[in-house]
Amino acid sequence: MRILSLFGGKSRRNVRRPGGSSGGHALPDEPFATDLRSNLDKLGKLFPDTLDLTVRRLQIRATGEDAALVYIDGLTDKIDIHTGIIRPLLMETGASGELPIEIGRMVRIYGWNDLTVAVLKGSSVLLVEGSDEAIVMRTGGWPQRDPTDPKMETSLRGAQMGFVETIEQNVAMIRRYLPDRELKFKNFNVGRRGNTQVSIAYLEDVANPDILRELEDRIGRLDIDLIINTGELAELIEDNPYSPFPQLIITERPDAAVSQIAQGRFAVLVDRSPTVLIGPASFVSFFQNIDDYSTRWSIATFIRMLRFLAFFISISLPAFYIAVTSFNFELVPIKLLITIGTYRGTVPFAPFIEAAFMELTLEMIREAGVRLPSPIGQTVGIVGGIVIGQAIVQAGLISNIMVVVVAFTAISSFILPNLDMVAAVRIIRFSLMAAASLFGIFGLLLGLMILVGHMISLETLGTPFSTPFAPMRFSDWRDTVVRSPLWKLTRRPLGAHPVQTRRQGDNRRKGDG
Amino acid sequence: MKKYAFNEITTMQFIFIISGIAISYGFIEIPQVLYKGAGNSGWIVLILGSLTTMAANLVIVQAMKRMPDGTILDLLAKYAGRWVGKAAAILLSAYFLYFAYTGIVYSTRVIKARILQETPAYMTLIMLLIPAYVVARGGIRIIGRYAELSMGLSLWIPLVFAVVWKHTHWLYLLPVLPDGWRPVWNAVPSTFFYFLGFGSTAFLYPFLKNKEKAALGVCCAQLITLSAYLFITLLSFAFFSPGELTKINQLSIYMLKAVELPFVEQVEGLFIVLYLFIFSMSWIPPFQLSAFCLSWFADRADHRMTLRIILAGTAVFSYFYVPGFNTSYEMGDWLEKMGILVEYAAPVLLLGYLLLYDAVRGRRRPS
Repeated sequence: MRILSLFGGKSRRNVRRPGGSSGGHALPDEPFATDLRSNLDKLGKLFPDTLDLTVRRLQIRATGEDAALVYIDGLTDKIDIHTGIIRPLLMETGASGELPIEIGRMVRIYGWNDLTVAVLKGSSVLLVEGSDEAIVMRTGGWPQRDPTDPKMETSLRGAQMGFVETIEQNVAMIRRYLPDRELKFKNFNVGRRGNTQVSIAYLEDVANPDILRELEDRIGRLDIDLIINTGELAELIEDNPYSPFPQLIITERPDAAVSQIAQGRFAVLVDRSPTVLIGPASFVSFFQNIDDYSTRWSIATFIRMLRFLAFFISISLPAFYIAVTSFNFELVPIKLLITIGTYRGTVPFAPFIEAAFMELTLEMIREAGVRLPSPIGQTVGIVGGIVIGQAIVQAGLISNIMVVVVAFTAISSFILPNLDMVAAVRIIRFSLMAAASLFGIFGLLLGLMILVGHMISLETLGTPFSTPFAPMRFSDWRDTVVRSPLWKLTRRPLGAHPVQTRRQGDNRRKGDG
Repeated sequence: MKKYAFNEITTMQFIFIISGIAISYGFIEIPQVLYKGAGNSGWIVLILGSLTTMAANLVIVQAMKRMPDGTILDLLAKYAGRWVGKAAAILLSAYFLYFAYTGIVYSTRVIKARILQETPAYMTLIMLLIPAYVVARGGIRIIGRYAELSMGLSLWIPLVFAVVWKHTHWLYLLPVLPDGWRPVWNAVPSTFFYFLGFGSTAFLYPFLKNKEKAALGVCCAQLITLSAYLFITLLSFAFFSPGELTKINQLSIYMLKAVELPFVEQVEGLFIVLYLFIFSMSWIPPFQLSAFCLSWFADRADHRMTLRIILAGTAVFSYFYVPGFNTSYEMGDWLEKMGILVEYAAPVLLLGYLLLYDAVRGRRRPS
């Protein structure tokens, strides 16, 4: 039974099994003519005003036949085409009867649809006089960048290499970590126009086949024009899009992705997107970071606890402030209350207005900092820090304590390693503030209860989101709030329902040597 | 036919649901009830009450063994006819609704009295229905997770009470049994109220993953309930003088006035609020069970519609009338009478009927 299927279903309302997957401008797949001239006429009709389409007529020296090489200029690697295809075809006197082409990957095709797709995706197609088949050669070479260190998920000890926009390279990066026969990639083409390649990477003997089926099903059912980015795919396939919580991890680190794959999870790679989707993700997995495993376990544990504390503080501290300043004075020790009163006395606004104003300002400063180019970005810091922080207090608009609360909240939310979780925290924080302004500390706890209730009902790819806390799985606790020493993590976490649970043997050194 | 597959609960969730429902009612009130019943030997009453409850609970498990894939309603429908099942569904639905309503009214009243004096009671009550809906709509499995989590999140409670340890006088507990066993025996039925909720076993059983552990599970659940009650009872007996014990209401909360923490002024206010997680166990599972019974009656697999009707009905009703503290205690008395009937007496009768049925059936058609 899928919980929340009532809501879950709606998000995928536009699903339809794509019958003709090439959609709107689909042609019935016509075979090639044997005559080169009529083939080229047809090609001209298919690509009428395509400036970057190159058609190179040539005579193959080995066989003496006329031929035409079709490719799109910008999408192909010119050196490959010139030295690997055109030169050998013109120069070589092939003896074996085979065409002398020096390209590794060649496929024969028999229809126009395949040709269209191949050409548009950067392959070159060779049409030969007198033949009703064409040869597709993988010559893709579009503008791409080298793997650089990840921008958003920086790491102290991890690899300084992030995913790039080409799926082949991303696949290669994952394979570099896991040269294992069991590492499988399942490929899909998503998007009627975009025709984006999407691959699910997983370890076949570890990952759970039911979850794989669920994931395949959800991706396979997508009927959409175009997917630009991984985030779009995440929103289309996650279980409950109405939840504030992210239910799939988006990472730009190959090492993080591989570490999750090794635990029995699935990584979804999307071509043209430098991030990878990982599922099923549980609540705690948003608090884990690849660095946790390369620092000493005691310090990693401390940092984990810090993160959970920070999560709690950043969702509830402003709400708690509102609750104690407008409802439940009795909870605060009298000395602290007097201090708060001294500063609050001159403030003309209710605590909720005060807090909402400051939190909104903080959100604006943060958002401004993200989008602004870095030379201007520094101004934001100055404006935020001095003008809003100091001047607003001196003007008597906001109390000093509120500024402290906001700063504390901000710092706490910066500790969280996952951006999507930080976004969730912001939304939850405002809802809790509203609840606390209506019902004080009771409202805050009511909000937390609803949050807990929502969290335990939430599923990710059909597995519980709140594992290993509810359902309780004590064996998984070793890698949650604490990060146990690596030799204790002998089993893969059960949250991803791996079919093979044993992860490692006894690696602890024994004896006194 | 496995009607309730994919909706299984673990043994631990089973344990925590049963003891959670019970503890939420009793933890605050039970010391005083015991003291009024049997003086400072009240804790012995508790042990006897717990043993009785454990026996009653095992009877339910024994009866349910005949129907590993169905609830008590399916069992009744099979052994006593479809309409008996339907009638039982209505009765049990009403019982659990009343159970939940009593619980939520009591919680509302405690919150209103201690932390939200200004807010109208109906508003508090309606607010409390929101988390109830969020949790209960997920079905038994989510209730199980909620029970686990709320018990886990409440593990700090004994620690807070440990702070009052230095104010205790254990001599108050002596002499043991000053008036002999008679008052102790007489007081045992008065504890039954605080163990109610184990009737949910009859509904949880088919959802339980390891059914062979059901008997062990209910014993554990009763032991947890007992130890929570024993803890708070002994502590209040040792903390308050005999004179105070009868005069002060809600001893468990009052005791926290002695706690002084550097960062919180009134610990008991915070306690009440955080205790909501346990409080909620007295209404969330019963609301769900009530909805479950009702949807069983209507032959609907999805209990969410009935749950919505029940909660909306409660909300509308509460808008016009929320019982006061004294009425809520009276409601408790009624619930006690009904509960003894439904959860202690009825299972024994049911098991007797089932044994008789089997005997008659077995003679007629030996197999």
